[in-house]
Amino acid sequence: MRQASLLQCLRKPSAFLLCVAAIFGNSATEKLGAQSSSADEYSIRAAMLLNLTKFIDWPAWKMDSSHPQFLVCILGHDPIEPYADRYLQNQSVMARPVQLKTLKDLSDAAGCHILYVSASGKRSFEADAAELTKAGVLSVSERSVSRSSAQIVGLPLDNDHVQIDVNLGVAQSAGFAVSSKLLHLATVTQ
Amino acid sequence: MRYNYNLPILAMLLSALGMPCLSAAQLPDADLGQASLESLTQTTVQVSTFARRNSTLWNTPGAVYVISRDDIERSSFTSIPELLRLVPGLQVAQINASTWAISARGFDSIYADKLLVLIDGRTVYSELYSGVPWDQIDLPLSNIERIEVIRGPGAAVWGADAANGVINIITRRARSTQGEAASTQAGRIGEKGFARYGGTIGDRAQYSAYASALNREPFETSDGHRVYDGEGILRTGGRLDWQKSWSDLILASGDLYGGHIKQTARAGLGVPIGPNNEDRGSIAGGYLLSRWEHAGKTHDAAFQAYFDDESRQELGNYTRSRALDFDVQDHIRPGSRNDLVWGSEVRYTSDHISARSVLLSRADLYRNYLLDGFVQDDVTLLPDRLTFTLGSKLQQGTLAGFQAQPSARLIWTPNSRFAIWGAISRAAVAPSIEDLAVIVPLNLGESNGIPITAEFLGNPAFKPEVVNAVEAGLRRKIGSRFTTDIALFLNKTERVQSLAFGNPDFVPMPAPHVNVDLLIGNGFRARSGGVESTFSWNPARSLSLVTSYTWANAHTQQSEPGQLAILDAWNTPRHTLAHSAAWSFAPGWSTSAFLSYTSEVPDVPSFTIGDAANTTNTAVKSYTRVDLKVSRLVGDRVRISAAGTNLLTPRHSEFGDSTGFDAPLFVPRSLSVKAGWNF
Repeated sequence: MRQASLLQCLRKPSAFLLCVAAIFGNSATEKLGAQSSSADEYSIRAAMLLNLTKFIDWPAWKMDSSHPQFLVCILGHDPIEPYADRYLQNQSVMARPVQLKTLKDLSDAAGCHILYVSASGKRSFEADAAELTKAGVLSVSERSVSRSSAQIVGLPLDNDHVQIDVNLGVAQSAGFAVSSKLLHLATVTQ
Repeated sequence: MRYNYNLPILAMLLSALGMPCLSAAQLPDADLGQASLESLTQTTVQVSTFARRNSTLWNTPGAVYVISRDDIERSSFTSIPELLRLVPGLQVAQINASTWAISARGFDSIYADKLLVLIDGRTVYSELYSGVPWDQIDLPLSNIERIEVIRGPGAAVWGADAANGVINIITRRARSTQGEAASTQAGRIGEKGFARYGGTIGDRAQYSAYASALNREPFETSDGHRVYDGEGILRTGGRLDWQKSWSDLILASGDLYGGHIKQTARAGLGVPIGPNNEDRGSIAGGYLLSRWEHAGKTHDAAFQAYFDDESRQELGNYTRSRALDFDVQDHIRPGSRNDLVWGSEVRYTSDHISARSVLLSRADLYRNYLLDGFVQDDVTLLPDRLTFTLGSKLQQGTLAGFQAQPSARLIWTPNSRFAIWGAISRAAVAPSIEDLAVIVPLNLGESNGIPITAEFLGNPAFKPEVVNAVEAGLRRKIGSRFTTDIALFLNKTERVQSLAFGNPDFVPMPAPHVNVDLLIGNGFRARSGGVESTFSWNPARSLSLVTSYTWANAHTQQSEPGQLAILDAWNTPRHTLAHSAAWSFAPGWSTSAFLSYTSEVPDVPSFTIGDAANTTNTAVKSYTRVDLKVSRLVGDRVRISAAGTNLLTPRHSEFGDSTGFDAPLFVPRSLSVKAGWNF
């Protein structure tokens, strides 16, 4: 509706003053109370990690009884860790308790449900990415998926917001089902 | 040299006025754990320059603009000063191939002295002549994370010289520049090459090192003739970030550079230079910085130390400036209503000047110190609605003496879509060594067969300029895609720089001639005001449009008796209109366009001595420039782009001869191509 009224502003010069009033006035229809929030970028990414699980279905075999825990792994050390530690505490995904694990290398990564690749882990991830994709591991990093052919989700900075990128082609080939709601919020690469 | 960029004493010094705020982890925000994915994508990332701590641009009680990493990548501009054209309300004019006049809120000149420029909190403002040597700030754009720009006084936390604005260039962390990257670029206005490697040491430390080369081609005269002009620099640098623990980050960074600068000096300078007044000089320098950042549960703290060494040789004079700076700051939240930042700085600088023949300074060594402290408190009057900010810096130093630079600000945010703010501040501009001690001999021709000379003289009694500023602004979001940001300012500037004319003296020796002393002083005051407005529209994720309009004007008045001319002239267009657009129109493709109109800058009253007066022309005609870029990602790793700058006309002039000595050149139309690799 807002966009429509803006276009009218441009088309109808007579409506210009009203439009100026709309720009500067304090419309009563605005929601009071909620302030525009802001946070450290790593805090936003950590909060997004858990949220992703609500919009992505893992392959059925990855959620069977041989996977009693939902493992969120961080490869290398990353500033999101203290935030992830806090946000993931006492959480569960599909009735599985969430466990956070820091990995030094990829030898234990196949069991992870989410693998957050830190800047220092980028290189070793790229070398074994294909294996991890087959193992039903959702790879996430702060880099855009456009900068990697194997990464499934990217959380890059776009101006002053953290955006979500999804490489749908890799996600589907790995057996993930991505909800259309997430795709609506994300930039999608095939 | 303030009065003639072609003259010597163009030395570099990095004075220190602080550090960026803690970028390491802040205290975890429990609310985010419950936030929806949609609201998380709407959550803004914080900026740090305004209050020396992380804060939201939307809730900032000042005029702030940020050039993001994306803006840098999309833009057709290839250097830091050129990128600043994207900032609404900033006056950017290129004078020749390597020289810019950049200012906020007026008084623009090659040595605009009321704008403080920092790189990661390390000042690059020169105390030798005031102003910023843009020809030395050729950092590779691939290493820059973002550029935060404050218009208006930032002196309450950043100290003297931040009178009309602060620019903080924030470089990328080592963790963001891992792997190999390289790029090469060529075009009419110059060539650039860049290579970088980033790696890790253990699992908690990352490093990154780079090398870059830059060549700037000469600009033109009005008829398209290229003159002796340009610059070449080689630079190498690196940084190491060690996340010692989740609450402690230790980083070290540094660089080294060296190169040449070419210029054609104005005739009449009483200093021996090359044939046709062509001079080839050199610049060299480097810095080493170390910082510890601690993010505790109840407070954030940082300690920083750096050493900086800059030298410059041109027109027969050699200058070297060295600075040692220690800075500490702490951010605490006493009670639920207060958010307090305080800090302190100690700085020592040493400036050497030497000459082959004519020393353009009263002495050859200056040692300066600076001691300062600041405190700023955000007091929440109504939670999430009304915040009052009060702060001041107190400083004692060789150049500015004692200065108190307080600021009071109020911001009202009745809802998430509307913010209105107001501020009142006092800020000072420290005199440069040149203001106090310069001596420049000038040959002004003959009158009735008798040679006339002048001496351009610094004044040991020169006092700091003082700006008293009143500001107000509003921000408004309409829908999720349209934002407007408007700021108004009224400044009263006291002790504006002037030039006094002494009585002509007949000097019989060594040959009979008449000499006139031109003495720098504080003989003017100015009232200035303006409106800066920005309208941003993002119709889609792939398309962003920004339009800005700035109106500014000033009235200057002589405040001391005598025959005076204003030296620090207003030099600012009344109207500036700019549109920028960025569009990712297909996967891997993106394009950007920038169009700006700058109205004329009228003549300013300049000083008149003999025949020199007849050659003075300060007016700059209005001009429109268009800059375009299109780029394409080839595969995963290679990006190629083609860009055109100043496409509308073959050449145009952006800055006039405001001092009677400058020799401004015409900015040519330029096409360039670039290829970049990321491995």
